[in-house]
Amino acid sequence: MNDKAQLYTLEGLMAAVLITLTVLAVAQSSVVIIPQTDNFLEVQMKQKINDALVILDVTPDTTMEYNLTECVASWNTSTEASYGKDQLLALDKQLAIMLPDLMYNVEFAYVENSSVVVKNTVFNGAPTENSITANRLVALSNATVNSYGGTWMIPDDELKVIEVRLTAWHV
Amino acid sequence: MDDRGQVAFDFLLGMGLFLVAFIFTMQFVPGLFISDSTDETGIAFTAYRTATVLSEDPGWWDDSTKKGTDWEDHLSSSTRIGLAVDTIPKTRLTDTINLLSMDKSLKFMQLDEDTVVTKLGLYDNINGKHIRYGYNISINQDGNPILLNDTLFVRGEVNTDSVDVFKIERLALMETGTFVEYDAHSIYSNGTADTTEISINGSQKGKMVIDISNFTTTSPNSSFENISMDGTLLNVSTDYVVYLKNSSNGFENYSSPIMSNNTLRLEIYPMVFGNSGLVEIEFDNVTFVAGPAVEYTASKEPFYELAQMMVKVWK
Repeated sequence: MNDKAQLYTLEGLMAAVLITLTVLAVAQSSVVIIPQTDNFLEVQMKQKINDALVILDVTPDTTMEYNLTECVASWNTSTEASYGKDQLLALDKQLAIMLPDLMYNVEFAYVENSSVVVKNTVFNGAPTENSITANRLVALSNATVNSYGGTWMIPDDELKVIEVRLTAWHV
Repeated sequence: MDDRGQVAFDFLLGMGLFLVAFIFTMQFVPGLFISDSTDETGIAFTAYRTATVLSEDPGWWDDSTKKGTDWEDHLSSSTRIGLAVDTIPKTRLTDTINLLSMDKSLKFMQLDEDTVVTKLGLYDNINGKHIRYGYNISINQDGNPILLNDTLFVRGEVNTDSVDVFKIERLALMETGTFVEYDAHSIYSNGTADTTEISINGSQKGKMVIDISNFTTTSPNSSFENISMDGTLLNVSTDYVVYLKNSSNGFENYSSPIMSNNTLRLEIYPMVFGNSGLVEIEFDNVTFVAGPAVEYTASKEPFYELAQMMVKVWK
């Protein structure tokens, strides 16, 4: 009987076992790191636009002339922004200082006649797929609207809540 | 019989046995082959957390009897460092996020390295051993650290070999000084009709910002001339800057003339004044009613400026 080839088969088997064991050992002992950098950049951007809205809201008059509530109150509700035609220049100007390397749009969302209305107030273009939105609520009273020259119709004994949505993206 | 392959087979068998034993040991003795480094995400979280705590939290101190957010006055029992302004130090206010206090920031600059690293958690805990991260925390304006009183706000090292630095930027309003708004009719001349005086009592922290509006102008060429402190003429741009707001635009760098409905803003840098002094502001073709110098300290409020907080953390 010629059993010469059997040894080679066993060698092959053992080699296969060896390779498998090595791969297993490597896979078990190291944690596979998934790159998080992209994710982190998004967090950074979200944080920044959120900060911009918060700062606009809490800013004293000595630092910025118009705070978020004043900007919203001065809006003419019958207008809508389109490309190159902003409706709230003061808001746009102040956001441009805070977000110098971002493009952004601002929308107001509010309830009117039991339905939600969403309107552009600052429009710099169509957002890309990677855009991020931050929002903040503003409460308006009739007195505020009157003193800043907007056209909101609010009864004297009511408040109107407007959601300010700031959508930003990298160019 | 031909036993040519035998030697290699023995070797393989021995090697295989050894590997099985080796892997068995590796798996059953924990921590034997774990390297002394953590993954990158831990650092990203540290950077995020540090920036959030610093800009949104007023901090906290706690000894056995009392507690509050004014940790800058109770350093030995401070438990958390935060820079956000606290209007009522007894409560945990969180409605003042992104407004940063000058007192807290100045104290933060003076803290020793150990306190900063421990209180902000800028280290990794590996089997009970603290391994410090490299870090750099700064508050910037136009890319340069902001000057608070006479301290540049920047802490930590400069990263020389830029490997895997995680940085996060926050926008904030930094308290840089004090502010007072005057009606030109309620500040008075010292005898020379176009010069008005403001007296400073007690120590000032940060810059002094003075807004004056409602001028009585006597010609279309009314202008601001100069400021002197206790008789010494100050240098424009090194000692102070001047802005003017006309009705349509916001504050812009000063250029004459001043109209009666304009607002003039003077920002005097902190190096100029000591604990107290007399500020003389001279105009041309502007009149003030004669009267005593108005006291600055009596009516001041904090002045905030937009700034970026940058936190960088690396291994």
